[in-house]
Amino acid sequence: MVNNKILELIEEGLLEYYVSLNYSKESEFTVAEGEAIYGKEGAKYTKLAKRILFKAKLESSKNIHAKIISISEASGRLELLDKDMKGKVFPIFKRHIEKYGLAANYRNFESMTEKEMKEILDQLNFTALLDNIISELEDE
Amino acid sequence: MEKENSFASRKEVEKELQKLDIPLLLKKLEDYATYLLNDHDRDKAFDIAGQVFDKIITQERKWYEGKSLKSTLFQAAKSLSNNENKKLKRKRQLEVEGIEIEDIAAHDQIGQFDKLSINELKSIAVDLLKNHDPPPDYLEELIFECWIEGITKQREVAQYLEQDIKEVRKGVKRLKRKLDPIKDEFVKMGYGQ
Repeated sequence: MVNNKILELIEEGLLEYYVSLNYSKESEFTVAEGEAIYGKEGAKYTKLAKRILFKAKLESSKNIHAKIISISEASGRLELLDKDMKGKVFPIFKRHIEKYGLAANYRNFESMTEKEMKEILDQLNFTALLDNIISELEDE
Repeated sequence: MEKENSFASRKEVEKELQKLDIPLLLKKLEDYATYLLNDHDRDKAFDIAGQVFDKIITQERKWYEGKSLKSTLFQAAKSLSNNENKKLKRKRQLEVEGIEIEDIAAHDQIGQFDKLSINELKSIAVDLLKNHDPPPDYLEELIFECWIEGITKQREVAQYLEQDIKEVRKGVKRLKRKLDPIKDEFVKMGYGQ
């Protein structure tokens, strides 16, 4: 078998070098580096960088849409379930709250009555929830 | 259940990319790919640098939580360059198919160098570096010798050589310009992709 060890080690050494460099926006270039990347000859890098950031933003917003669909679907399913299983939504909701450790979000959760629980469910406004998610993601 | 191998969302990728100097990363990814490509084609290397980002953004290549994004990007460039080398090798094989004399000669050559021990190969690599024009300085030689002995991390090289890490980084910057001919010789001998 052909032994590639030497080339692999050189590749590894180079990789370690490139990874160790500072790529934060605050990094400082030498004049030559700056000219190579941001000068006339380097316009291709800035052009491609803009395309990359645009694409990243686009893909990221696709993800937001995916979340909206998912929550809308959940909302629809909840309505159907409520029709079919009248009265059983409350224990499921309680288990869900406990399972995900959300009880602390509700004051006196343990002593909350079924009526109070149902009020919370009724008050769950999915439109407002979606609006909140979108505005929070946009703020990030 | 313990969360394993969770990878960053598209939003997290975008957020991280916003913090980075993408043109600088593109340039360095291009430099790295240029060395890795057996034909050192800079245009091809630039395409690879762009593809690396595409793969991360679309999550075709996952960026796992806790791993550095820049390291994932450079690893991706390595994989893509290796794939290109395989394609090029196959293309060249097809081109020489039917030319029996060249095939036999190439095969014999690979067989001959395959018998060399790792120490003989190290010695060939060091000689190739020393014979470079312009020749390497003393620090470059030492860094190269560290690498082929398996000490490749910047910090470890600096500790081993009792040098400041910044000096080691500067040394690698000079050294990397002299590596293409070494790689070319090894590829000619039948090593590499």
